[in-house]
Amino acid sequence: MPPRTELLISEITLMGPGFCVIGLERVNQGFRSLRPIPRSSFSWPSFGYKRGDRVAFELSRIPARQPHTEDRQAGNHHSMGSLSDHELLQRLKQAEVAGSIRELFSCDVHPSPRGGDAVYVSPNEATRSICGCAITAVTFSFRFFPKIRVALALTSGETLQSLPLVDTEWTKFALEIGTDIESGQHDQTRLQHFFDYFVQEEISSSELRFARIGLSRPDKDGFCWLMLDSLFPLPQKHWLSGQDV
Amino acid sequence: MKATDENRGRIRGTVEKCLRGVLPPETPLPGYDDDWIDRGLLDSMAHVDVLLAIASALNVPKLFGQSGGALPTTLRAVVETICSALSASAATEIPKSWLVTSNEGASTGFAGWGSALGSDRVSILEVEQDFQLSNAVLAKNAGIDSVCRASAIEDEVVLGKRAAQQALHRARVSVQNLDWIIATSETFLGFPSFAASLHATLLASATCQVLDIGGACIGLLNGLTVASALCTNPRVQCVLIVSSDMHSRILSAAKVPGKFGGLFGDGASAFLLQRRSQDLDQQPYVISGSLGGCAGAFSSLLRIRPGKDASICLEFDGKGLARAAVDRMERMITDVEKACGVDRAAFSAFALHQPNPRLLDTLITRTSLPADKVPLVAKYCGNLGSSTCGVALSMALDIHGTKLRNARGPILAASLGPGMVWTGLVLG
Repeated sequence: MPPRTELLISEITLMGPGFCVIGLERVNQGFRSLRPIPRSSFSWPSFGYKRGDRVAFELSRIPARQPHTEDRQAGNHHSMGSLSDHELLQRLKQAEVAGSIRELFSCDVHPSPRGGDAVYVSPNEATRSICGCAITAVTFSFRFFPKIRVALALTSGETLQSLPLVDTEWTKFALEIGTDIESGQHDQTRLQHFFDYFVQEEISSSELRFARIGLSRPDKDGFCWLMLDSLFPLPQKHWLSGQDV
Repeated sequence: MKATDENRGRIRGTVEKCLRGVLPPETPLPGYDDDWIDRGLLDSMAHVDVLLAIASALNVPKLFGQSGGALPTTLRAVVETICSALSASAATEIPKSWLVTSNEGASTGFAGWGSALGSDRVSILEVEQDFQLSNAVLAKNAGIDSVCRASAIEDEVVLGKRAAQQALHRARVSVQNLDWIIATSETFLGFPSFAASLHATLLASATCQVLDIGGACIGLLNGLTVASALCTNPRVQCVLIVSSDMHSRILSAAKVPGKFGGLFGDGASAFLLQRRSQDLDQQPYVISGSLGGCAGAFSSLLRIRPGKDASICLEFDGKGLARAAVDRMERMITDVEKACGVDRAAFSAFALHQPNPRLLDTLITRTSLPADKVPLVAKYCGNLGSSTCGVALSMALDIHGTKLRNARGPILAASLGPGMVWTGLVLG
């Protein structure tokens, strides 16, 4: 029987109709990211754990394609408890962390040739597909809601202007605010206003500002797009109480 | 022009052009009602990107995603979305072309222009010796033949004044008639500022206002953009815009590596925008469109600032910067072409920033620009900073600036600078 590996679930992101999951494995001096994937797909049709859960997996190495070198085939999982957001963040800061955009994936990023402000890396240049970074500012754009784009400023002074937000907690939070309960219609204006004037202030004043940037699987042009996999502080239920949303 | 049936075809053409830019060359354009997502033509990223490209090409920001409905995924739906968005707001109009100005016949145009170069032309071999570079690295890798360096009696103000006097002379305008002097320099340090120093040396009138503008290599284009905006005030008749850069005094061998410092030369440019009411055929070039932005993802590729003891702190990733610069310039040319509705082949000239000649060659090849329409500056003068684009524009205007409207095409002036800031101006 393969040995069990304990992963601290750090990311659960949207991937098509399913979910992509990343967890932290303890290594010598810190942690490293691994991506448990089911047997027949890159994504989990459903995932029964939440961010911060400690989960034991039977992991086996598979011929991973660059830059998704963290992929591991996973099975036979069970819960071993959970950690708080703060404890998770402490461990994320001991995993892959970059001080600049170039350090994120050890390669240059390229501007979208299609007209937007998104950036991508070439699969054969990137050496990993997930990395954390401290951030100084964030803004959200709901122009294409329910797709959400985020702009981040890194401590290096560099900015990432148009990252697709795939973090399930943040997207769920935005959907709850931006969808009228009775009609089911989206209200981008209300959502944008709430994020511009409240959420961004909460993030700006937090000492937990940290992001994890992931790479998409190569698209048909061979581009791996940068995405926002995690954004700390995580959205808080209590932000909604007393707010005119 | 409102979004009526007559421009529906033009809207569709623009949408198809943007879509074409995303699809592989071998993939035919989808039918009018084919769903781009269902047919697997676009993924989520490409869908958003193509909508952004369409909004950018039509020069109508925030065109999509404002109503709260589903994003359009067919040609028909996109065209209908654009038409209804435009008809919903009488104030929102698609410009028929960037090249049509609203104040034809009484516009503020380029009445004068000029340039001045450092009077010592130094061969690149000598530059390489100065910087103790071996293997002809600047000649081979950068493609520079020579650089212009200021003589001992020249500085930013001297060169700027010389260029300004050329512009005033060509326009037959007295310096006393200037309403504004707008000046930019990436090397002038100290106060009185460069614009104030120019004002003094030109002996402009006491009521002529002065404005210093930054932006390094896009400084001149920033100045022209501001001047154009100032000229919407009918009381403003004449604005002088001057760039001047004296790299040889700052980027010396003792302070920066030769592979960086050896690329630069000294020079200046000047332009006079003047309000004129005259025959439309003889109308001078006017600024008829602009675009620009800032891509902070590439801001760390070049960083330069004063260090302690008059030293210079330089972070310079030459290869990364070259790649990002060519990508951005290429996209700027494509965006301008789409927004103008004018094929790049119909342009009279391209006054482009030239970090070095090799990079310009790469850009010309990648964008299929006619090489004879791109005035060469860096090859013979070195990178002149904010004045590179200015000297190139001055050269282009020497050829086309006095032609009748029907005998000339538009000119694109485009540049980018540290922080990956970029600006493009269309002169029509």
